[in-house]
Amino acid sequence: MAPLPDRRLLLGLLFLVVVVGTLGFLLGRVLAPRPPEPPGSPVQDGGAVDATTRRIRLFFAVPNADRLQEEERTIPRAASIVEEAKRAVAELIKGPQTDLNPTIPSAVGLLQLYVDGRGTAYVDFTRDLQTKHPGGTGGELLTIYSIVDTLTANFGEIQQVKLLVEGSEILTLAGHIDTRRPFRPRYSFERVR
Amino acid sequence: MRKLSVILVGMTASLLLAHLAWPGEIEILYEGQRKVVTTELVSGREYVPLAQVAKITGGGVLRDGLRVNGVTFRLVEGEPGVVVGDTTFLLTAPPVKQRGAFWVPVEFLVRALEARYGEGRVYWNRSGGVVWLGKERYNLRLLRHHAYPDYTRLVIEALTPLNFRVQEDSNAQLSLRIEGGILSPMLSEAVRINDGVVEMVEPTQGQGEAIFRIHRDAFGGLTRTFALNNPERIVVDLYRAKAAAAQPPPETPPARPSPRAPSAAPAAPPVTGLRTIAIDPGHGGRDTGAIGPNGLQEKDVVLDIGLKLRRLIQERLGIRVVMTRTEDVFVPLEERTAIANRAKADFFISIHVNAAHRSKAQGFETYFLSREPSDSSARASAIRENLSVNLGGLRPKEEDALRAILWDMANTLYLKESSELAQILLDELDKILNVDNRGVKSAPFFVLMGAAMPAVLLEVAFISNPKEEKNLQAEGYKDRVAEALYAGIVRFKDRYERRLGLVPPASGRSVETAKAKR
Ligand SMILES: [Zn+2]
Repeated sequence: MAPLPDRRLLLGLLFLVVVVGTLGFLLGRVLAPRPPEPPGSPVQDGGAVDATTRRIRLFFAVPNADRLQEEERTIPRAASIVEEAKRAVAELIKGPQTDLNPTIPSAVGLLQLYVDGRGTAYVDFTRDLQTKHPGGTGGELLTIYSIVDTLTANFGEIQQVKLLVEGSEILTLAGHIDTRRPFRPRYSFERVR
Repeated sequence: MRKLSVILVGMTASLLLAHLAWPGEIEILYEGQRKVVTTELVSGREYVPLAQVAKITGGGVLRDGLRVNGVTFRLVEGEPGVVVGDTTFLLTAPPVKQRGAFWVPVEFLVRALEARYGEGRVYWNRSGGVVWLGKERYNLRLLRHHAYPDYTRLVIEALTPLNFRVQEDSNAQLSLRIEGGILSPMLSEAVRINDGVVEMVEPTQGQGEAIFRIHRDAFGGLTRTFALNNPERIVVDLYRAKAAAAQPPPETPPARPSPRAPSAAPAAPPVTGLRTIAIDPGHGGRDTGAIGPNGLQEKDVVLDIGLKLRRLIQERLGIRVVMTRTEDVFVPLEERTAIANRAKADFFISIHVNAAHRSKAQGFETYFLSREPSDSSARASAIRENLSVNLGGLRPKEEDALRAILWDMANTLYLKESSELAQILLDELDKILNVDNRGVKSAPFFVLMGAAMPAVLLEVAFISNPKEEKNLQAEGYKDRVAEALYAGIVRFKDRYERRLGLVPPASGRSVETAKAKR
């Protein structure tokens, strides 16, 4: 047991630490990057051309790789959101029809997609998502956020996306970005300072 | 003279033993069957006929080897190397021909059974002469150790690449935790080493991991952990504590004695200032990192730049540099920051080159860890483990609260310093390189999560861009990158020490400009 004065000193330190910590936290918030506004508004069901198809927005890489840009595509309507989300990811894998760049290696297969009650989509890919990935922080960010942004921008039910490979959580795609947690949308990787 | 006679006696003995019938046998238990194979002793080793191996494994004898389950083993008489596909493994003794047919050492039977039934299912009790098939697969085969003059090397043979990390339990004990590791029966007992560095190694099977507790003899010296492939091995080098205390760490090669001492003397680093820099060349070993259109690999480029940077820092600043790797080896992401944390590094620089799919992107960018609330837990534990505050006398709840607050403070402080370091390094790259400056960015990097210190990740070029790949092949270009990073480190060091009040502002500036002119 430590003598009393030590304890008082420690509690004093605790108080000081709370004050400084709060200031530090506030400073951190001021410095923290502000999330950019998502381009356009979520596609509504009214965007459908007819009852059997719907317009969706896919996100691909701009030529210098520091941002994602949307490309419109029409997909057949499906019985459920999950089925439509699967079609959207399949279109994303097929790659862009404009001069944007693909973000997912074309050999990758989508195994499964489901959405839980809290708005997290779990997207399960074949191992090629890791083994055929070109690597690089830039490449990883583009792959991750093209999937996240495509799903969150088109499906109001999806707020965040968790990536899986063959049913399991992965640490990273190719050694950089931590993929153990779900991602929220992010549309550009521009400088923060 | 005496030595020669001993060798002669040895040779005669083995000649006598060779080709003598041997009453040994190997018992093989598989698929409910029991087979016994008679072995013959050749040059003191137990051999079995290749034809028997083929029969047991359902394989076919070829003119130059054996084919089992689609796997071809190519044998050459008198050569211990066996070629399997594009890899080679070594037998402890070469195949021999007797009566026109191949005979192979018993361990070849084990290899062939592995080809038939899968690695990790074949168990072999060498001394008992039994080979059997188990239900459960193991992926950690055995432990070897060897004492070198200043360190002891532990090698764990694995069947598949596994993730691992080293944790310091106390000054005298380390734990190597191997994710998803399953111990073979050969790893069921503690291994006593007692070589003056390592007392013993105790393997234990945990839930979803295997743990090797390493008991050190002396008060803890430095350790290095990495993986090698073909075959997969996890290597732990434990250095003698004495050598570590007296000299720079093992990562630092002994500096050439003459030029360093006099030049370092006038600009000797302040004792309490910035003392240790951790440099992390990304990827390595089985992880090549990004590959350029002409085949240049990220792991090689970043190792070159990292080693060049280390030399500049050591020669000009005389500061200790800890490298996460100095060779082409695999080091898991968690282990990289653990190395820096154990060395109490003042900051951590991870060096990479970038890539993007089918892109013309080019240029450099620097990153620090983004502050996302969901990322906090990994970093929190890293920093908490490193907070050496004595919290004795507090109740657990108070202790937790205090630790949490201290962590938040430290994290905020690191964040600010990390973003400053990222900016300084970016500015220096901008001065020297004539490619796009893509700015300072932030993202949730796995490798930076475990750092209990300011940490940045640099993408110094796009290897996916043919022009930049060509640049990265030139030594001169990599020298320029290393020079830019060195200049950034000098600037950051100066600011760091000035902030701590170690260097008066005026003299600090003059030191900086004097350095910059060199
Ligand atoms: Zn990299």
